Amino acid sequence: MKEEQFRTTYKKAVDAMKSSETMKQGLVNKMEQKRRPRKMVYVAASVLLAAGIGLAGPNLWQQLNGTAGSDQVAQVNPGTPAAGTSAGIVIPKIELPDKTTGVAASMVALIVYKGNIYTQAATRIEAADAAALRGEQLGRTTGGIDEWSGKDEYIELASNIGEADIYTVKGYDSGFLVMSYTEIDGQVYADLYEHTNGITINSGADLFGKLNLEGRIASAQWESFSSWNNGQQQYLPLPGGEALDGFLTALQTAKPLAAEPLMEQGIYDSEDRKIIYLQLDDKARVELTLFGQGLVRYGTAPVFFEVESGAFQALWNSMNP
Amino acid sequence: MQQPMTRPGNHVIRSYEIYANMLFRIALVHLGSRQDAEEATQDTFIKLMEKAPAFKDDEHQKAWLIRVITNHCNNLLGRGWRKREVKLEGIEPVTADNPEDMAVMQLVLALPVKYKTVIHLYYYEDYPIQEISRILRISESAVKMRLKRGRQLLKLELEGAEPE
Repeated sequence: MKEEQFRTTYKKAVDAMKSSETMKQGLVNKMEQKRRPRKMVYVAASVLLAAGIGLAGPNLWQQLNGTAGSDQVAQVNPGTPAAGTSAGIVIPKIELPDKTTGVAASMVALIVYKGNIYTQAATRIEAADAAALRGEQLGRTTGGIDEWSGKDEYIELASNIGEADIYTVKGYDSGFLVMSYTEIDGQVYADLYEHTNGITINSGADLFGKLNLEGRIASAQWESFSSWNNGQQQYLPLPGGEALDGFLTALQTAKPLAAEPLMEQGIYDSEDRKIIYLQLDDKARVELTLFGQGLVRYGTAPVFFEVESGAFQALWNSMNP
Repeated sequence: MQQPMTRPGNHVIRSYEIYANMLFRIALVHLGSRQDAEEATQDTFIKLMEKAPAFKDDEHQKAWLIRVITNHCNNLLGRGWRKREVKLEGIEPVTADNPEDMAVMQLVLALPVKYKTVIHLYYYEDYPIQEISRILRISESAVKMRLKRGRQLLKLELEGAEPE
């Protein structure tokens, strides 16, 4: 058979093969079953957000700002070098795009509270533990934001998550973290939303301090890049002790670095990465990505942190398969 | 207009809408059974839900999903899962209408596992060798070798100038 004939025929044959209508419902059922035994609610960063943020984190900020200007993305304060500096990193405030630009916002899960956009947090919590963390009710979201929304729809408690009650999170500043919490048929659905835009980060404390990590680690795990990259979920225990404690202390004084230059330089092209999962004593689970060159990233905020090399290496070296 | 209440995993459903058919077809080529392919596809999205990886862009996510379902299928087959020859199961009604389509599918299904993914990605998804190499995390020469061997097994006569 000739190659092109094969290509055409094969495509036709494959095109004829469609999944059944029940496959999606089957997935939904499996997802429900997966949650039910452990009542685990994953408050992971939205994939769509992650897709925009991972390498192109600042692009989301650009997109949400409706501009492509480099001055709209995370940047080092004017007059300072881009990396290796202790100068503050300015993460510009997210705003919904101006509809007239024709730029549609990526549908990151978000809510508007006190004039700021809170995006789905890169922290997880089990549904069973959410109630214990639930604080004061702040209001109820109204939905209304979609891919085509403009700034005029940027109103208090607007969201793209439909209607949900919003609460403070006990032990956390509501200027940083809030929670949506709903019960449907006895099943708890809770998400954490964090405000990590419109801020200046001068040191790790400006971000990690809000998570109050030090002295609160109940347990820790880590995952290799290979496992992460292949979805194998091979979590290994990360012993507490000096290496972890030293790392967390150093994290507070870590130097913030603008994400964009690092990503342009291809930091995500390297496989020299390890992911650590910190289970806090309030049951929240914080995920940090460690890059072999001594950098750390939390969530999707367009900033990396350069951790003191001794502390970083001690933890890095303790993670061996 | 109100949107439905967000639930954990909504992002998975969004990804499902985009990638489910692509993944289902990859699984089908590997496993030869509609039911098994659907299950593998669901399992892949469950991994996406549980892992919630941070992708650098949409292509990164797509590549991750392809890699995960390919590995999943390979693992199933490698473990001697459902020890049997991979044949079309439950999809004949669609392909049987056209014997030529059916014959081509049978040829691909009969390929050794390691060649199927490369053949599918190259001839169905139209990925170039370099991209297949990136997605599967194997060398370009390995992709070329698998493509070459796959072509031989399929008895394809090359017409273009694609590298071997």
